[in-house]
This record gives sequence, structure tokens and C-alpha cells, in this order.
Amino acid sequence: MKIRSKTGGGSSVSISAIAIGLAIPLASVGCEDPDGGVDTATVGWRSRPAENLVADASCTACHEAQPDVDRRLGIATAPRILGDGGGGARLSPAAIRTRVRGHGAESGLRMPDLLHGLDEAERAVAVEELVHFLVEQGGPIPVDETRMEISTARITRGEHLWKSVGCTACHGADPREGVGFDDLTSEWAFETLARFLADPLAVHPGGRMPSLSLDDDESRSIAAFLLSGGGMTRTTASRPGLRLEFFEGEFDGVGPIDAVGGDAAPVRVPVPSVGPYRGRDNYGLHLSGEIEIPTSGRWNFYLTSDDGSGLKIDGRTVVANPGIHGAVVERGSVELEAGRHSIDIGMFEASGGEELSLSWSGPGVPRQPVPAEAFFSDTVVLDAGWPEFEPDSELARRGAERFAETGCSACHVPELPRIGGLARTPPLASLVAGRGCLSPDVPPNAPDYGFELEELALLDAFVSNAAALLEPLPAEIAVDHAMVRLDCIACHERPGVGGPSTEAKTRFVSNEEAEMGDEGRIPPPLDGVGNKLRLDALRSTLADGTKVRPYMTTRMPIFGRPQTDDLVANLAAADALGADAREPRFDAALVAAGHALVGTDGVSCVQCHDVAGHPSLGVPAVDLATMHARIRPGWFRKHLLDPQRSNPGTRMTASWGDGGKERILPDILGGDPVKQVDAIRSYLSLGESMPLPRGVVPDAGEYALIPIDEPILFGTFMRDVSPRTIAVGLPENLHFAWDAEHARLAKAWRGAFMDAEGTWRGRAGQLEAPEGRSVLQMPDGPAIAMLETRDAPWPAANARDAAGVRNGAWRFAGITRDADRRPAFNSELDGVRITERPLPRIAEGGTTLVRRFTVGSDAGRGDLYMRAAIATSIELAAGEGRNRIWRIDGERTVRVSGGDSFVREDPGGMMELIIKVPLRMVGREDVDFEGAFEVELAW
Amino acid sequence: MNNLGASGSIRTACVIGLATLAFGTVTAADESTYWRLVDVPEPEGVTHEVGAILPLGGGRIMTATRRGDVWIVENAYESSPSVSVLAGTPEDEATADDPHRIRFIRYADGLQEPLGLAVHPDLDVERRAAIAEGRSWNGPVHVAQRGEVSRMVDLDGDWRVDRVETVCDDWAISGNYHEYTFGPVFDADGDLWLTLNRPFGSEPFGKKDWRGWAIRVDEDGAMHAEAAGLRSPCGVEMGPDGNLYYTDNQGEWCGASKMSIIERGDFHGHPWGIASTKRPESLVDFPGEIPDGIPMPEAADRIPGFKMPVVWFPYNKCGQSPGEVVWDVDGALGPFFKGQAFMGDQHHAAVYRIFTEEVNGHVQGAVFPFRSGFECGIIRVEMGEGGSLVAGMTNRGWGSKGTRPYGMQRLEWTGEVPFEVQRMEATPKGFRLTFTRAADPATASEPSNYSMTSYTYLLHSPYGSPEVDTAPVVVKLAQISGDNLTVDLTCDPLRAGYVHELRLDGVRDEAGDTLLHPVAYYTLVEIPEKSD
Repeated sequence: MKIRSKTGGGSSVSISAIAIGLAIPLASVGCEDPDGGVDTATVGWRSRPAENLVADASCTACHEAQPDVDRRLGIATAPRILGDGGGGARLSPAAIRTRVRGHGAESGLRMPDLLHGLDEAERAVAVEELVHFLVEQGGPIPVDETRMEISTARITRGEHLWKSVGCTACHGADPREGVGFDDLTSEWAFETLARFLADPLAVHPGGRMPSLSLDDDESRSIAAFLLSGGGMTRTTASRPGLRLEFFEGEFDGVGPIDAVGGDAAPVRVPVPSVGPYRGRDNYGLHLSGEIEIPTSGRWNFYLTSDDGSGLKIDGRTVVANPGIHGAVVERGSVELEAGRHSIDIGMFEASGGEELSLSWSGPGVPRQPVPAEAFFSDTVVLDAGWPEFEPDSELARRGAERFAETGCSACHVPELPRIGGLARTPPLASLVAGRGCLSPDVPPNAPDYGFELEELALLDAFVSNAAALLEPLPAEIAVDHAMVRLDCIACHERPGVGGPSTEAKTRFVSNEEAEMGDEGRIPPPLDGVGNKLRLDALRSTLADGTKVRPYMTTRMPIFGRPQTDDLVANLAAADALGADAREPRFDAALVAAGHALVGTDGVSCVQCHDVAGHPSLGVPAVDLATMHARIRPGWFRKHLLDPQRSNPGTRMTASWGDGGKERILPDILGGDPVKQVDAIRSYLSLGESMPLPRGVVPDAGEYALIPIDEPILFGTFMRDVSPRTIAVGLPENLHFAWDAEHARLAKAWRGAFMDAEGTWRGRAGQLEAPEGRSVLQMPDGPAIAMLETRDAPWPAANARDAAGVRNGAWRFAGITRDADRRPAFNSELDGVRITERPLPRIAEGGTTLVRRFTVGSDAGRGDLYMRAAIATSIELAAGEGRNRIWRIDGERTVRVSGGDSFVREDPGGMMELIIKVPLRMVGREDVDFEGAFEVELAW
Repeated sequence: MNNLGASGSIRTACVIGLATLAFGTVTAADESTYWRLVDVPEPEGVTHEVGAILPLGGGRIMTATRRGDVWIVENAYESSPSVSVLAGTPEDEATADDPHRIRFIRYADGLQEPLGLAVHPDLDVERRAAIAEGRSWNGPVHVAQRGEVSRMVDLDGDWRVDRVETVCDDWAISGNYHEYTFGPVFDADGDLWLTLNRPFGSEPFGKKDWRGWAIRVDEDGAMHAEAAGLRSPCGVEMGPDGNLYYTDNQGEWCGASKMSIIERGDFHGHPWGIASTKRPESLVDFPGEIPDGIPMPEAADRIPGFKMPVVWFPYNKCGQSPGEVVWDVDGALGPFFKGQAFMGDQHHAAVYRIFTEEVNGHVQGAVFPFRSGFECGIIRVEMGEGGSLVAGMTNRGWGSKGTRPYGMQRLEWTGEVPFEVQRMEATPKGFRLTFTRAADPATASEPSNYSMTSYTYLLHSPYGSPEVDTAPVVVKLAQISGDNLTVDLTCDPLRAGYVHELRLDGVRDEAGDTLLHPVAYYTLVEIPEKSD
């Protein structure tokens, strides 16, 4: 067996080095206190190896402990093994048998032997009963699913991923060594392993195996690699040409490039073509296999298609030729090693003629059709050879009883009532050293973990000091415990806890294109990370695996909330300094100064840092648009002024010399370094809505729309909006979509505006969507309605029939442009005319959207209302009368100026924020009654 | 194949392009003696996929592009442009004193596939007056978008739009790329006419009515569904005779590309939109089930409201994808062609000439090749200042001949008089040909120097129709007039509802030269009655 010690202080520390962990006041050992009272001698006792061992063994599943103790120990939920997606659906019967027998160290798990008290014959019966019961939990896996045909290219790709995304940090370089697992091929089928790798937290909510955010293609590739190296029977078939799968139906984009299955038996084509499907309409194709690259170097691929198509090599898009068009050729290029690579081609045909072909050019090869000799669909057939297993329902029924009686459920189904001996297990606080599970000779009625002697010594010390566990650990110590328990130190260094060994560091692969040195290769040290990162950023990094370093090939794993909530709080408590939370005062002048400083005329952050998705001028260091939301103001200030002090060895430039005291750029804020850093901070607080700094060359795909000098209007079909959408991009990097069909503002967003490819390329006609991430959806239906009473339900969507007949719906009346070329949108109904002018307002946390309404009417009327928001919760945050700020779902705000606003419940139970449209007599020549009000949206 | 203004699959197009390249080049060289091409280059960064052209006078042309921009092109008639600049750029400032530069101003943006510009007749008088006086007119212009017809106004005269008012959006669109809106054109009453292309493929926002229809928008902005059965009606234009003409692209239920007149209640043959005839708003009667696979003359007899064309454009012989038509009412392209129509073809990147006459109450006529060799497929033609024919070009989505993906070119008459068939009129016994200049009487009166066949097309669901029921027509007699300008051909048989294709390779002028284009295609819908 090979199992990494989680009790040691670092990956290179062995179990025998536990002495360090025991360096704490030792208690009087073996003294049972029947009242469970606190022995004064135990106060302050702690031991990282002992406590983590208890957490690993889930001792408190049987030996009840107070919640605070569970929390201190970080006890994690055991794997889910019952139900449809239970153990039987994942593992072979043999693997389940191994686990049931216990001493799961063999499979890398700390499973106790719960049956060791039985005699040999009865034990065999019990094991089989439990196996039958557990196999029924979603299983058995059909034998034909244990035999699979995998392309050799997929195996190669899996190996590449294994080495680069972070698997090796915990599992070692060579999967045949099997650190953390045994012979996978006897335990996992291809599909079940791929599913597990794609979402391990679904099985292990405790985060024992964190998720590496693998997509389906990646998890299947890694599964293929892991299983192909084991004891399966392999037969390799080399076949020329590509596999072609056919799908009926309407497609867009590049067609079904990732789809498998198909509506007809797959066929083989010698080179990319539509095969036997010429002349048909409304279908998609997926061609797959390998392409053999003769020479290493940069290769150009020319993909011709009618209609859309796309080309992926090794899972990465190389050519996109999307949309409906005639025979159009698109080029893409990629650096490729000589040898076989996986190739996927998607293509679709709407109607009319069709075409698909692929040419290449590369080192010594002029542009020409890729010859048939280059295509293979080599496959490896892997056969696990699992024996047939038929669960017996009677055995399974008895297994179910045993499952509850024996104590399996204590860990795996803790919500089940405890019966039998389990009901009488003593609480944690009254355990006695050397007894029960902790005895060198475990009694029949206790689970046998097979603890080593050193481990027993740790556990003896633990139970003797159990009373001390009620005390929460000091934050910095709790961080240490958790980082070891979760194995954070396999990747990250933190003083006093450890970090990856020198050997382990060599396993982190660098992204050569990034040229970021070790900072681009080895996960960052966590020294003072609680001082550096805001709480939300810490949380999303740990719990959700949020990634801000696109240049890193190693991925930050997702551990899930239960395992990381306390760690986040403890990191903050251990590292954060209160004074560092103070933000500089926000004002527009400071933002302008910051804008100048970040650009190439200032300190030129853009030399290395990406800006809201646009590439830096050099290396791809962390995007500036993420900084304000992630980094605490104090650390930010310290880091900019003296980067080597806050992050020794960093490649970050010290723009202000002399430890941050040097005065540079005297024209900006008088050259005051602290003010200048605060100005940069204020500018960065706009996040994705930062206007681009000087020097940045926008990452302009051929069709990217980037408003720089004046607004861009873009008429298009927009998904979920209408085929008559006018998208407006403002230089303030705040954008919105007006739905002319329904005369309403539909969406607003920050960051990137739009990519027009689907509307401007080929025959176009694709449905577009905003490019930016923070898209705010306006309520459906008209913005302004005529209500008989203020409680009347809001009218439904403003729809017309197929012939275009409009029944009482607002009609879009056109656009008015102001001096800055910003549009205002006019609409009308029954003598009421609305002008809505969406305007940007620069604000901390991101530019806000001001919806300025002017309503004109031929008659005075009191039945006009505007609906500003629909949400689960709407609360008054500030203000009164006609000027109020409302908090929406606790996460965004709506400020209403110039109109009475109130909240009401809609028939569906949602809250609506309603504004009564103010109208007063103006008696102008063009209008009799008029009202104006403003709704500012901050999100 | 589905199209904006094109037909024929790209594959076929390429093959034909190669096959005819050599021939085409020779012809172009000859044509260039009489009509020269001048580029109107666009600045870098402007994708000038011209979907509409409106001359404003004073050297300015307004164009609308498929990307949704409206441009003011200044100094558009410069014969040798030095540079083309975009207003507001450093290049604009640097070249401010250059009299030979062309300058683009972005008048409007964000429109949806604007494919037509028009001016209300009351104001068009002012526009024409301005052009005549050499100054620019900057008044309200109507523009067709996919989902609405709008009126654009520049209030402060800075050549940038200040208001885009929705005039009518009474038809709905489904979100299918092929649902183009062509037009608008004003009729004499000030009503707007538009033609609505049919969709191909998915309709993500639901199938809509009135596709494949011609609609009228009255002065109050209300829509009237006037005519049905259109396929891909890329060109729509008011003729000088007050008739509304449109061109349609060959494909399913449209056996050959054609130019037809639109009148209320017409059914033009394509069944796509006939379900809409059952709506109360329809001004077209339900034409019944459309028989699949009958010759056009039979269709005209059997289908209520079925409209026969003015001309068919025989496939590949007269282009492949007709775009807009323009009438040269002033004879700017040569006084001999005064009043004739000129059609820009998207696929062939060429202009064809159409002579029309009214016979038995039906307008019909002949098509002639005119000028090929444009740099890209033409979807828009307009008569500009100084006798220019201005061509707006794009081949996005539908391939074309030529070397550029988009752009604008002008065609100018050099002043030389070509030897051409000026007119081809139907007579009770055959056809009367009029030449642009005197023919050699010996060759022109020799019947064997003329060869003729006639054929028609099928109304059917497959894509395009072959020429069917083709038969030779015997030219029995060729009688030349005393001035050697006119020849009366006696032909047998004459078949109504058939294209009569005439070749005159042996006919010479007085110098012994052949005709510039020794071919003509007369669509004989009506045979004149004997008047004597």
C-alpha cells in the first residue's frame, strides 16, 4: 500500500516524525473520568497529527462529540454509497468487497474492518451479504460497459492532463505507483471513473478528493490514461480515416463537435467530407480520430465548409468557421509536435449546398489538402475482464440489515438511527486510552482500523486530552491543521506548516508561452494570504476553485463549502490586520489619475497585467479587473509600494523605488506615492467597467466590438431577447441591450461588449449574447404599464402575433442621439410617450446604469407605473419620499429619484419594486403633461 | 440555394466562373472602350458591404451597409482618388487640404441589415434640384431594416443622424438570417413599398406571416399586404412608367430569375407565404394548391392571380442573381439607351440592360449583356451625378465573380458609340431590331445571320428549372430599313410564354465589325395583334 501521511507536517515528513506534533502539554494518560469533566491538565492541549488522524478515521461518527469538537477536528462526511448513484454504480463488486473487508489502507482509504470479530465462515457470509447489498446501490455495472474502445490520442491527452493539471501533486508522478489508489482497472469502469473525476465532490462531499474542474473531455481522457496503464487486456486496432457520426436536426455555430452517439451508425471517411450525407438538409456531423503531424512546428489548417464548421486538435479549438454561409475557408494555426494528435471536426448544414474539406501547410509542406495518409482512428480496446456478478436479492436484504447493525451507516448514512452495539458506543469525551479500537488487540465488538503503534500512541494522547477539544484552536493553529488535513501543502507553502518538497516542485509544469518563471509554474505561497485576499475572494477560491491565473496549468481544486468555511474564517483571523481594510475615498478625479497611472504613460501596469480580458503588452499576469474584488486595500498598498517585502522573489516591478518612497510622475497627484497607489486602487474598483488604459491593444477578434471614442450601436438577433435588438456599447464599458420588438430595455452588462461574428460573418443570423460576465437582466414585460389600481397585476410580455398585430402593446418609436452620440429610446402607447435614456455613472465597485425616464402624455393620468425590479427580497436601504435606495436580494441596489417607489408582491410570490410615474401639467406646445424620474442600478 | 441576391450553389459558381473567365475577360476589354469603371475606395476599417445607395448631390453619396452603418461618402465622384479617409481620424486631419481624397462620415450605425434608402416624393424634388445645382441635400431619408422601416433625420446638419424614427414595424420577424427586407420605394402617392424575403432554416422566434410578400405602408404608417408568392426579391424599384418593378432570384418555385411588376392581389408563384392570404389583412386571394411541375404559360392559365414576368434572366446567360434595377431616364450611359433599365447581378458582378415595351397591356421586353468585370457582385445600382451608374457590391454569404468581397464602383460612358441592338420589339410576325448605329445591309438582311430558339420554364419545387420545351425558331426573313438602323425579322413559330433567344453573330456594322453583344433574350408573354 502507498498512502500519503496526512498526519505529518509536510509531504516529506514521515509518520515516525510525529514527535513534533506532540510538543504540546501532555495530559495524564489513561485516566477515565466517568463524568467527562475537564481535567485541568488538558487545557490548551493540541496535536495536529493526532487530531487529523481522528478526523481521517471519523472517530466521532460513533463516539459522539460536541459540534464544536467536530468543527475543530474538521470531520468530513464519508462517501455517499447508497441510492441510485451509490457504490454499485461506481465500483466493481471486487472493489466493494475490498472495502467491506476493511483495512481500507489497501485501497488508499482509512476503512475499519467491522467484521473481524466473526469467525472465518460467518465473516465470509457477512462480506458477501454486504457486497450484494452495496452492489445493488446503483449497480452492477453491466459487463459490456467494462469493455471500451478508446482512441490512442485520448490516452495521450489524458497523460498530458495528468501531468499538468495538478493530479501529481497528491498522487505522484507515476500512476502505476498508485499513490492514493491501488489497481484502478479492477475497481473502476471507464465511464464510472470519468464521471467520478468530473465531479468527485458529488461522491465525497467532504472534499477528500477535490474537484479539478475537469470538463467531460478532460475527465474521460484522464480516465482513459489511468485505465490503459493497468492490467486490462488491450487490443490495438489501427484504422485509416476518420469516424463520422451523423445527427439530424438544426444546428448553429460549428455544429455538434462534441456530440457522441448520432442518429445513424457511424461511418468512416478517408479525409474530412460530408460522406454519404451530401444532398440532405438540417443535419450535423462530428468527425473524430487522430491526425499524424509529420514534423514538429507551427501548422496552419484551412477548414472549408458550407455551412458552419470547427476544428479541434487535442481538445483545443484551432479553427472556427461558424454560422450559415456558402463555401467559406477559415484558417487557424497551432504549434504541434510530430506524431499523432486527436482531431475533432464539427460541421452542420441547414439547407442548400454543402461542403467540407481540410487543407494544411506547415514546415516544408505547402498548402494542400490533408492527405488520407495523415488520418487514423486508432483505438485501444480495453477489457477489464470483471467476472459476471448477479446480485442476489435475499443476500442483499440481509446485507442491508448488516449494514445498519455493523456500523457502516455511522459514517456513510449518519442520519440513520443507531441500533445494536452502535447505540452504546461511549462518547468521545469518555474514551480510555488503549481500550476498544485503540487496543493493540482490538476486541470483537470494536472496529479494527489496523492502526500502527505510532498512531495508537497519538490516539491515546488524544483521548486522554479529549476535554481540551472544546476549546477552539487559535486561528493560526487551526489554519495549520486544516492545511495539512486537506493537503493544501502538497501545492502551497505556508511558514510553519510546510509545502511541496523540492522534488514535488519539479512536477509542476510551466506554461511555456506565459514565460512567468516559477511564479507561473508553482502555486503561490500562502504566507499572509488572509491579509492579502478579501474574505469573498478567499471563499470563492477555496470553495469554488475560482481561478485568476490563466497562465498556471496546475488548477486550484474545488473543496466545497463544508470543508473550507472555517479555513477561510481562520485565515482571515490569523493574517488580517484591521487597518488594512480601509479603502481610499472614491472620487472621479482619483479614478482619472489611476487610469493614467495604469497605462503606458504612467507606471505601466499593462506591461504585464491583462486588463478586463485584453492581453497585457507582455506576460499574462493576473487581470487588473479582478484586483479590487480580490485584494484587500492594505496589502494592495504595501505590495505596490514594496513588492519584494510582501512577496519575496516576485517578478512584480517596484515602480516606486526606495521601498515605495521615491517620487515619480510628479504631474500626477504631485508625485505622492501613497496617493498614486490609492488612485490606481480607485480606478481598479471599476472592475470590468474600467475604461481601457493607454497602451492596451484590445483583444480584437476580427468581429469584436470595442467602444473607445464613442458609443457603438449594433443591431442584431439576441438570444432570450428578440430578433430586433439594438445592443449599445459605451466607452465607459457599461453596455446594454434595447429590445425594439417589445420596446424595453432587456439587459445591461459591464466588461467586454459584443462580438459581431454571428451577425456579420457569412450569411450570419446567429443569436448573439453579451460578451461581458456581469449581465443584469431587466424584468420581463414592459417597463412602464397602465394599472387600474396600484395593486393590479403587471401586464404580461408585450408580445405580438405572427402577423405582427400588436394588441395593446407598447410600440418602439425610434432613437434619439445626444451630443455624445448616446441613444435615448422612444416608445408609445395610447397617447403616452416614453423616452428612456440609459446613462453610465462612474462608481466604486463598477460603473452603474442610470435609466432616466421622461414620460409625456396628452392627458393628465395617474395610472402609469414603472417596474424597476423583481426579486425574492427587496428592502429599503436608505432614503425617503421620492428618493429611495432599495436593496435587491441582498446583493444589488436600485436608487429611485424623482418618483414614489414601493414594494409589492406579485401573484407568483415574488417582490416587485414599483415606481409611480409622476406627471404634472406643463402645457408646452409639444406636450401637455410630463414627468421625469431616474432609476439607478448598481450590481 | 438561398439568397440575398444570389442563386446557384457556390460550387457551381466556381466552376462556371473558371469556365467563362477567358471569354469574360475579352468581352470586358471591349466593353471598357465604351464604359469605364472607376473605384470609390473605402477607408481602412470600413467594411463597405453596400446594401443601398442614395446620391445626395455636391459629390456626396449616402450608402447603407449590411453591417448596419449608414455612410456619407464625400467626393464620391473623384476620378482618381488619392486616399480614402474616415472622418475624425488622424488621417482625416492630415489630409484635410487634399482635393482628391474621398471621405467617409458615419451617419448612422446599429441598423439591422439596411438594404434600401428612399426619399419622400415631396422632398425628392428638393434632392434632385440640389443635385442639379451641384449642392448637397441633407433631409430626412427613409431606410428599410429587417423589422421596420424608419426615417432618419440629421437635425443639426453635421451629417450624423440625430433621430431614427420608426415609421412602421407592422410585420414581425422570426430571427432567420434570410428574412431580409428590401425597399423601400415611394409611389407617387407617398406610400412606401417593401418586399419581404422568405426564411430558410430555423426561425428561433417563431414562424411569421407575410414572408415572400410585397407590402405597402401608407402615410399613417399602417401596413397593407399587397402581393404574395415572392421568393428572394432583392431589387424593388419604381419604374418611370409608374409601375412597381421587382427582381426575384431563381430557386425553388422560381424556375428562372426574373423582373416582374407588382400589383395588388398578385401571386408571383412561390407558395411559402400563401397561408398568410387567409389572414383578414391579406389583399391577395388564396391561390389554391400550387401544382408542382407545370410550364409557366400553363401556370398563368391555371393559377388565380399568377403573374407572368416582364423578363426572365436566363440562368448564367444573363447573370445568376439579380439585384436592383435602375432606369437611365437621361440617357447618361449613352443617349441611345435613354429610358432603358439596367440590372446589377450579384453573382456575375455584371450589369445587364433591359428594354421594355407594353404589348396587349402587359409590359415585357428583352435582356442584353451590358458591362461585366466589376470587382464584386452587385446588389445595388443607382444613377449618380455626371452620368455615373453607381454600383454597390457585396459577396458575403453568396460568392461572386470579381476579386473583392465588397465595395462601390462607378460606371461612366466614354462617349464612344458601340454597335449594339438598341431595341428589340415584338411584332405580330416576329421582332423588330433597332441598332445603335447603321448596320451593314448585306449581313443584316441575311436571315442565316440570325439564329433563334425559344424555351420556357417549369413552376416547380426543385431548385431552379432547366430550359424546357426548347425548339428552334426559323428566321424566315430579315428586312432592313433604308437608314440601315432597323431590321424586321419574320420568325416562326412565335410562342407566348417563352423566352426567344436570338443570336446575331454574323451581323456587321459598316466597318465590318460584329455587335458588341450579339445576343438578346426576349420574354414573349404577349404576341402583338396584327394591326394591318
